[in-house]
Amino acid sequence: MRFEFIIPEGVEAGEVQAGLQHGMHLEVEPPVIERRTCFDSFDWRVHGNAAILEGINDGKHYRLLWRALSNGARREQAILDKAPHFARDLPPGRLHDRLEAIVEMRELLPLVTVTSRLHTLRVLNKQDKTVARVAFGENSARRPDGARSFKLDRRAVVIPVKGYQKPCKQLVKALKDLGLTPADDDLMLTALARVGLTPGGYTPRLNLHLESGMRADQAARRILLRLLDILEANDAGARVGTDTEFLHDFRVAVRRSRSALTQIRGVLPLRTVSHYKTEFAWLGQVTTPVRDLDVYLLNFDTYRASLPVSARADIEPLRDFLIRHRRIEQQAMVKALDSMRYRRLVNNWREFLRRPVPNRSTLSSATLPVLVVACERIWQIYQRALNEGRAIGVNSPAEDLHELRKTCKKLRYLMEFFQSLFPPRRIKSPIRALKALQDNLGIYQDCAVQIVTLKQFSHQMMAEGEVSPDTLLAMGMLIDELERRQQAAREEFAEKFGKFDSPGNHDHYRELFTGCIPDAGEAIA
Amino acid sequence: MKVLATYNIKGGVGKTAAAVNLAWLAAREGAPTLVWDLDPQGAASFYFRIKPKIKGGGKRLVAGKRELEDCIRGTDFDGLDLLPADFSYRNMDLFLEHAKKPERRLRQLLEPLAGEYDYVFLDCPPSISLVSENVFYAADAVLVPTIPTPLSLRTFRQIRKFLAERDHGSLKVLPFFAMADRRKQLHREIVDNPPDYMTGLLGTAIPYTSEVERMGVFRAPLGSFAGRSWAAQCYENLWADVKLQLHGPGGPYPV
Repeated sequence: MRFEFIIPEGVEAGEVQAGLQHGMHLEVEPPVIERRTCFDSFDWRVHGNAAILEGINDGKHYRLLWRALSNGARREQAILDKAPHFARDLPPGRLHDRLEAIVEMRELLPLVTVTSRLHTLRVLNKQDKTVARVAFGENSARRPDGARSFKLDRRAVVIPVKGYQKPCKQLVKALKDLGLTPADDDLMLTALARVGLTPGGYTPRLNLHLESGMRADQAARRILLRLLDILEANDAGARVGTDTEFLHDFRVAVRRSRSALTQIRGVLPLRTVSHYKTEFAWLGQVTTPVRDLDVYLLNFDTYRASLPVSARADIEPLRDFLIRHRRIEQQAMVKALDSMRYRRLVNNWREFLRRPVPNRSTLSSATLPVLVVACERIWQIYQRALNEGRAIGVNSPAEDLHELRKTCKKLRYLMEFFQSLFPPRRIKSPIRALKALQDNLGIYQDCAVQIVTLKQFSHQMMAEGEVSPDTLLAMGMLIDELERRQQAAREEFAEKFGKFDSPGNHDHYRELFTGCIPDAGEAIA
Repeated sequence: MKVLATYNIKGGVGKTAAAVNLAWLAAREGAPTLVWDLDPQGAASFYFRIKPKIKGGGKRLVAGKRELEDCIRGTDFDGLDLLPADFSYRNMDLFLEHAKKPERRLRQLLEPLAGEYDYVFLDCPPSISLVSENVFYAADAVLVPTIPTPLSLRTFRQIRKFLAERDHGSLKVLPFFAMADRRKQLHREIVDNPPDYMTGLLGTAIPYTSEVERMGVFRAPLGSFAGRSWAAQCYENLWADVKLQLHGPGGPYPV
């Protein structure tokens, strides 16, 4: 329970405090200046969990507090030496665990600092025990890197003490009687808005709302424009390179754009498709080395833990190697992102996508309703996935599984692009079935890639200088472990594919995606 | 959640002062902390200016007819709560006897609080009884304040023996010297050369000082009104010792 009130203009805080003196035993605490900085990840994961994470530097320690947005209740905090960058910077404990689960590898960004000059009154009972508090604050907000300060409402905040509800209610009533109005929002949310930030303003999700009757070319442009927005939103963070998820989201937007260009067929001019396919392929290519190294570094502790205890320290030179090479690759990537080619790509692409669609089109699907095009493509790719999957046997080569993985990815992207055209509850089930299969294929393929690159790394490390035999041995053990995982994924494939290829799943697909396709009943599923 | 009991068969050895001051330090570091004043004399409740009263008495609480959570009171300090004493606790043994597994009832009662608190301090009454038996089952560690005198050392040996006989051999027993008076040669000798049987002895001795007694005047933990005093510093060191024993060097809160 927490109550915030706005002190209206023209009302002096002193008058309110004097007004409270009647009928309550109050003690005044010395005024303090408190600076609270709000933290969240770029994709607002803390806010997404209906909470606020704030840091207070009290001169001695840096206190990090988690409180629920609904009632302001704070029950988790951690003490640090300085402001954190990542959840892993927190000492072991409740808040560490919570943040690790929610924010994961994302950087905690300082978003806004609220400075409050606080006058706190304590309500005492007969034993001189504090039974409630009320803090009067003059508040201002500023971006951590900004010079400009924004004035916020003056507020009175009632802070209850557990087990003493009555004095808290009395305070609330008294403040209302004195003309204070309850605040709609938490002060921190007001501060975020004041400095121009919208909680939840960025999400890597597509969050598109397409209408089934919309022209397909128009819908395709909206999808691609949204993907371009995501790509550009992550551009700056990917260049900095501290938070690996910027580059990840950037690359997902690139991959989805490529997929949309090739999979939503007959809606965009062929020359445009061909040109941007090449350009996005290039963008994918120049960002791949950094991401590959990121993946290794993100998984490094898990890899290390999979080794026998005696070999764990031996693998550390690999970490140093990865960090060193990541730095080099990051520089090369930034250079590519600074190039004219990249600038031209994003600018021209945006300009093209913003252009209104022509009234008439010679393209086969451009003017068709998007629902028809969506159903056709999803149904086709679904059948391709079934064909490819059914052809995979015990002795099939790894390439066949890789092909199926690529087809599944295309299917997934298509379903995500057009998700809003279908009833939310009904599309969830086919996506879930597909996801389980994709996870299995993903493990298999990732292990295959990592085995190859680990071997390359070992050669590179030897070429670059001295590498101890123990490190090479540990890397060998890691390759063994990856082979084991890959084998396990291979063994699970039949079961996972079986679920995807089940009559129940076929029914879901048929019901959802064949409604507007005339000959779909003849299809193999 | 770690449960710590301050316990001794003897009274007036600094159990409550230790529970209150260590709990205050834990909360100050950001760990949600609860003190359960199990002593019907209610000294811990007195220190926090909280009425030693449980609505419906200890009987209903132990019987599970009243939620523990509803009886908890916030102290004047952020993150530090108290479950007050009640005069009916003098009959706690009788209440516990009626429970299904009498010696494990306290532990059972504390279980729902695991999500709420990082530390629970049980401030125990001075006795060997069913209450203490419950405390030994509920606690992760027992802090035993011991005055550096032969009689107190003898009591400590009795506690050790009792625990070994009652199958609490694995319980972490952490004795520490309390009310140590450096002016007394005997105290100095014992503190400087503790007997071998005091295994697990924490490195910090709490001095006998008037500041600790003033807690009764201020009705507050020492650190809140005399944070720079020697005794307050000793409690800080003692807390660091306890954390090291509980969590090792990589623990959740700074050592």
